[in-house]
Amino acid sequence: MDIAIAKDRLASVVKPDSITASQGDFLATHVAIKKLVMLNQFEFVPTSEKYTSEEDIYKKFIVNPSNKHQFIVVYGQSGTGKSHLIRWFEARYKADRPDDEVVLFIRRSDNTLKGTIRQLLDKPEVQDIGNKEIIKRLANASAAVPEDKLKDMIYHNFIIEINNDDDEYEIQLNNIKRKRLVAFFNNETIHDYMMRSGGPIERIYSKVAENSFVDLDTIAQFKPEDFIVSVDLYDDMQQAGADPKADKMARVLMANDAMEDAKKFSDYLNQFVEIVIQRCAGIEPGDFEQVFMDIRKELYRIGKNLTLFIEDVTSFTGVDNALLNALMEEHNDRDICRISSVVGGTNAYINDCFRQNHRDRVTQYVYIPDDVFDESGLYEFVGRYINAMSLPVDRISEWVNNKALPGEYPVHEVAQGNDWEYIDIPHGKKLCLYPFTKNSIKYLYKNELTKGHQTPRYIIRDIIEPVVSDLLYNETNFPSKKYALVNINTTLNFMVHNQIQDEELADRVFCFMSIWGNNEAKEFTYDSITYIAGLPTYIYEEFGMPVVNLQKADSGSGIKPTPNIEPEIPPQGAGPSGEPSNIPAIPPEKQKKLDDANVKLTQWANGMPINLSTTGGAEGTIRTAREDMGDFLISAINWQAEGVSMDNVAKVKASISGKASKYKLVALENQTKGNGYYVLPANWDSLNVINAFIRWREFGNQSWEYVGSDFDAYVITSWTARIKKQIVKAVTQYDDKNDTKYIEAAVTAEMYRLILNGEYREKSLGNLTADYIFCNHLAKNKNTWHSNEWNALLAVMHQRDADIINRETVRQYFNLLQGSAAGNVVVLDAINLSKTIRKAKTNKLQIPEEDFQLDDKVKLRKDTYSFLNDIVSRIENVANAEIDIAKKAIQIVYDCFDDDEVEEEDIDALLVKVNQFYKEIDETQINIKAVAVDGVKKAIKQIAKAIGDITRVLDEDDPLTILMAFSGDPVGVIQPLIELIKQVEKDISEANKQISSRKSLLGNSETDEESGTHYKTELSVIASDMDVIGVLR
Amino acid sequence: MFQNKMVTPAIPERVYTLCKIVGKKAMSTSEVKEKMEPSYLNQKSSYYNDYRNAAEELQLITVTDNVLSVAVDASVLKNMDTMRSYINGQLNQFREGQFYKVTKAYFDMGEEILHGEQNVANMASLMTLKTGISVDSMAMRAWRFWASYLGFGYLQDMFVIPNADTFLQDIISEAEFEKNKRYSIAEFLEKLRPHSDIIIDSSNGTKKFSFGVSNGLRTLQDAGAIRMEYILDQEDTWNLYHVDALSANETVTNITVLK
Repeated sequence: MDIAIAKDRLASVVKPDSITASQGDFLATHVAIKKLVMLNQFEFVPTSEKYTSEEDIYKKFIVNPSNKHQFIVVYGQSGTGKSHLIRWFEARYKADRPDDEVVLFIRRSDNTLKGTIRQLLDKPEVQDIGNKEIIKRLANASAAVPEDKLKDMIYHNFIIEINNDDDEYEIQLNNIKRKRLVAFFNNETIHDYMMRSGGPIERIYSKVAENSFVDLDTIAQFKPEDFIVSVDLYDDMQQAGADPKADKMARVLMANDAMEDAKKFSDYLNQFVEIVIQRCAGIEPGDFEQVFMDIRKELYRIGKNLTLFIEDVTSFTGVDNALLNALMEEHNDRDICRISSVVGGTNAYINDCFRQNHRDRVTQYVYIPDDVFDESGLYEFVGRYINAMSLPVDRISEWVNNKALPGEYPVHEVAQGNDWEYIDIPHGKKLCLYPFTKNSIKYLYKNELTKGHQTPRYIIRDIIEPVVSDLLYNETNFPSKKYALVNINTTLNFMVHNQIQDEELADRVFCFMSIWGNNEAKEFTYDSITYIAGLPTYIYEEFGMPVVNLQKADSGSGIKPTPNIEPEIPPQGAGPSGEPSNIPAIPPEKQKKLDDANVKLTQWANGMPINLSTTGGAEGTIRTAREDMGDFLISAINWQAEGVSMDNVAKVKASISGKASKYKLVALENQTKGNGYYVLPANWDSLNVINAFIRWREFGNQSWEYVGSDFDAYVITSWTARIKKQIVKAVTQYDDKNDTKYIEAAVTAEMYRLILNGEYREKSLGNLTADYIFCNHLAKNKNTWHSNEWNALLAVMHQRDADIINRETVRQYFNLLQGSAAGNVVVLDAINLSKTIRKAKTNKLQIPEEDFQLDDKVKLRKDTYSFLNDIVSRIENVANAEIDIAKKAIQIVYDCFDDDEVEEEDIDALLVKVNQFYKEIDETQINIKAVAVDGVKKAIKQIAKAIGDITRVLDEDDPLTILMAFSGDPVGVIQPLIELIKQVEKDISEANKQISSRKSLLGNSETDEESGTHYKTELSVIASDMDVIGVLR
Repeated sequence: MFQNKMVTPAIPERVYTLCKIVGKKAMSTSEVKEKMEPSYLNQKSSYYNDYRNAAEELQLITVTDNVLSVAVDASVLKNMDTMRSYINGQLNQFREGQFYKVTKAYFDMGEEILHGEQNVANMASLMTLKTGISVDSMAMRAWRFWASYLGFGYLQDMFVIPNADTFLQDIISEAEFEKNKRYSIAEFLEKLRPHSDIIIDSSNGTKKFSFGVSNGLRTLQDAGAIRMEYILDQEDTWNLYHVDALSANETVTNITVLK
C-alpha cells in the first residue's frame, strides 16, 4: 500500500456501486467471476452448483457469434455485482464489437425512470429518430417535479385507478371492497401512513423521481404489510374521525388473519403501478416501446445491429413491460434490426415484475450467487482495491488508454507493508494485501458480513473501506474498531490480557491476533523470524503493539511475504495441556454452545448490553453460568471465618434463588434486567471467568472432568480470591453505607414478643437474657384481661408464622454451623449473642425509624424489619388501650378502699370485714349466700403487687414500660378482688333490701318516719304505765 | 484434630469463639461450655470437647485443672485471619497427624485430583492409600473445613479445588521477606521452610510446583503480592504446573515479595 496516495484516492476508488466508480478504477478493481450459474428458466435461487466463468459467458453469449436475437437476464441478490458484470461485458464488448454493431448502454444512474429517460435522450441513436412527438413527451417527463407534489400525484392516481377499475385487470375486487378501499385511502390518517418515510408511496416515488435516497434495489410496489393496521394506527384513525367504510376496512386489516386480505389488496394495487407511474411521469403507455422500435428501425435502415446493455431493469419501472415488449420482439423478416439485450435485475424484481410471457421469452438467465468469490477470488478482490487506491490516477488512465490489457495491469510500489502477505494474480504479478492479511479477509468476510451480504458491494462498504480508513486515520491505534469477535480462543485471550496490563491495548492486540493472525495461542520461529499467533513480531512492532509470549511450538501457520509457511499438522493423541487422551473429547454441540455464548459475551465485553432474562440459547447458557458463579461463591467463601453468620448467607441465598429473583449474587454489567451483589465488569477478564464456568457445566457436566479444566480451576479460584472481599462486603451490607443489622431487629422483636406473650413479665429488661431467648416458655396469652389491641397485635405477630420465623432467625444467627445446614447440636457464638442482646436492652428495644431497613433487597432480612415494624407501630395504641382498661378496673378497687395505695394489709382488712358481714348476714338469717374470700386471700400478694404495678404506670408515657407492666396481665390478676368487691356490694344491697322487706312485714305500710312516730306512742304509753306502777309502789 | 483423627465438629469458627471467650478471662471448662452450649438448650449431645481439644492441640489455649486460659498473644486472636496465620505457622508440628498427611497427599496428586471423585468424603480410601494411615469419610469431611479455612483451596460443595494462595500468603508473611527484594527461588523456598513442607517438596529434585501450589503462586502474582521471574543464567529454576494459557511464564528463577 501507499498510504500517501491512498489518502487521496480512497474515496474515489471505494465505491460500493460500480456505476459511480471511474472507468479506470472500475477496470483496475475488476476480478474475474468464476461462479456464475447458467439457466434456461428462471429460478428464484438456483440450486445448481454447476458454475460457468464470466469469460465463457462473454464468448458464448455476449459476443453473440451466431448473430442471433437474444435476451439475456443477469440476476442475483442486491449487491452481488450484476451491474459490475454488465458494465464489464459492455466495456469488453465495446472494444471487440464488429463495425456494424451499435452498443447502447443504459446505466443504472440513480436508478429512476426520469434518470433513465434523460440517459436515453442523450443517446445519439435516440436523437436521430424521426418521431419528434415522443421525444418531446420524454423531455417533458424528465422535467423535475417537486417531491410532495409528485408523491401526492402518485397517491391520488391510485385512488383514481381503483375508482375507474372496470375489471380489466387479472386481480379483481368486488364493488363494495373497492369502495371501502377508496374510503380507506381517502382517510387522512391512512394517507399520512402510506406517504410516510419508507412507506409504499415513497418506494414508488423513488423509482420515478431523481435524487431520491433509497436502496437502489428497492421494488416500486405495495407490500402486504403496508396494509396491516396496528392498534395505534386504528386509534389514530378513530381520533381523527373515520368514514364508516374506512373504519370497516381498517378493522378487517387489524384482525389476526388480516395478512391474506392485505396480500390481496397489495397485489390488486400493484397492477396499477405501471400506469400510475406513466401518468405521473407524463408519458403515454406506448412511448417506450415506440422509442426502441424506432431505434431498431433506424439502425436497420443504415444496416446495423444493436447490442443493448441495461444495468438494471428496475430503472425502467413503470415502463418495464413496454420496454420488454420492444426488446423481445424478434427481427425475423421485419424492417427492424437484430437486437441482443443484456439486462440486469434482482431475483425479487424478476420474480414479481416480469410477466410469465416475458420470462418465457428470455434466451438465457445468468445467476450471480451471493458468495460469488472463492477464497482466492476474495483475496484478489481486496488486493485489487488496495492496489487501485495506491496507484496515481494517471497510471491507471494510461493503462486504460492502452486498452487495459491484463498483462500490463499496473501494480503499485509498496510503501507500507512490504513484508506483508501478497496475492498472486495472472501474468506473474503480485498484489500486497497490507493492511489486510488473508486471515483478516477471511474472518471479516465470514463474520462482519451477514448472510446475503457477502457480496462485492458489502465487501467494499463493510470491509475494505472501514479497515483502510482505520489505518489511514488511526495508524498508531490500528485496528481501533471494536470488532465483535467470534470463536474466541480463550487461551489466547487469557494470555494476552494476562501479559498486557493496559486493557485497551490488550483488547487491540487480542483483536489483531484473532482477526489478522491465526487465532492460535502459539508462537514459533521460522527462518529466524518469530511468529506470534501467526504474525511476525515486526508487524506488532510496526503498529506499536507489545510482543506477547505464547506457547512455544516447533512450527505453525503464519504469514510470510510469499510463499506462506506450511500449516502445522497438530500431533495426535494429546490435548492442549498434554493431558492423556483418554479424557473424552468435547462433543461438537457443546463446543457450539460455548462458541455461541462467546459471540454474545464478546459483544458484551465490547460494551453491548446483554439480556439474560431468557433461559434458552446463548443467553440461557450465560445465564446458567451466572447462576453457577453464584453457587460457587456461596460454597467457596468461608462465610463464618469472614464474620458473616450462616443465617445471613442462607437468607441471601434464598433471595437469589429462583427465576423470579431480580437480585443475583453475580450480575453482569450492562445486563438489561436485574442486578446483583457483585457486578461483573464487562471486560475480557470476566469473559474468561464466565467461559470457565460454561466449560465446567457443559464440557465437564458440572465436573472438572474435561481437557483444559486445570486452567479453568485456576481461573475460577484466582477470580474468587480477587473478588471475595467485595462479595463479603456486598452480602453484609444493606446499602453502600450501612451494614445489614437485621439481627438487631430480630432480637428486639423477639424481646417484644416475649413481653407481649407474657413469657417475660418483669418490669425491667435487666433479666431478659439469652435464656429467655433460647428457652421454650409456655405461652401465657390465653384467657387474659388484655385489651383488644393487645390481642390483635399478638394475632398480627402470628400471621403466617412470622413470630416463629423470627424466633428461628435469632436462634440460627448465632449458631456456629459446620457446613451450611443446621445440625442437631447448637454451638453458640456466645460473644456476638451477648453483644447483640446487650445492645437491644441498652437501646430499650428502640431502633430509630430511619435505621429500619425495610427495603432490603434480601426479602428474609427485610421481613425481620417488617415484623418489628408491625410491633413498634402498634405498641403505643396497645399501651393506651391497656391503660384504659386498667383504669376502669382499678377504679373499683380505689373506690372500695377509698384510696389509690392499696397494700396487702388493706386487702386483708377488707377480707375480715367481708367475712364479718357475711357472718352477721348469716346470724340475722338474711338469705344471702356467703362468698368465699379464699381466692383473694391466696393471691393477696400478687393482687397487691398487680394493683401497685397498675397504679405505677397509669400516668406513664413510655409504651415499653407500660407493656412490661401489663405483660403479667395485672388486670387479670386483680380480677378476683374486683369480683369480690362487686359481689359484696351487690350482697349489701340485697341485705338492705331484705331488711327493708322484713320491716314492712311488721305492720303497716307506714314510712320510716311514721314508724318512728308509731313507736313513740307505744313508748309514751309504756312510760305512762311505768309512772302509774311507780305511784302504786 | 491435628495430632490424630480429624473430627467434623471442631470447625475453625468454634475454636475461634472458644478462644475469644477464654481470652476475656480464664474460665473453667464447664463455664466455657455453658456459654457455647448452654444447658438451657437441653441438648442431648455435645461437640464441646472436640473444638476445645482442637484449640488445645493448636496451643491456642492451655487447660490446667479444668481451667482454660489463652496461650497466645492477643494479636493472634484479633480476628480469624490472624488466627489462621498463626495456625499455618503451627502445622509443621503435626507432620504425623491426619490433617497434615491428607493435605500433603491431596497436593501431591496435582492436577489429577480434578479427574476423579469430586466428593472428599468418598476419597477416604484413596487418602488411606496415599497417606498410609487410616482415613475415614468423616475425617475427610472435617478436613475440608480446615483445608478451606487455612487457605489450601476453595470449597466447591464437597470438593476442594487446590489453590494454596492464602496459605502461601500466610507463610510468606511469617517468613518476613524483605519487600521488593529479588530472591532466588532457592532462597525463597528455603525461607518458607519448614512451613511450606506440607505442600512443597523441595527434596524430590523435580523442582516442579504442584498444581495447587502453582495456582496459589499465580494467584498471588495476579494480586500483586509477589512477582515471579525467569532470569537467564540463573542456576536454580523451578517450573510452575503447565497450563497452556499460562505457559509463557512457567519457569521461575526468582521471586520478589511485593506486599
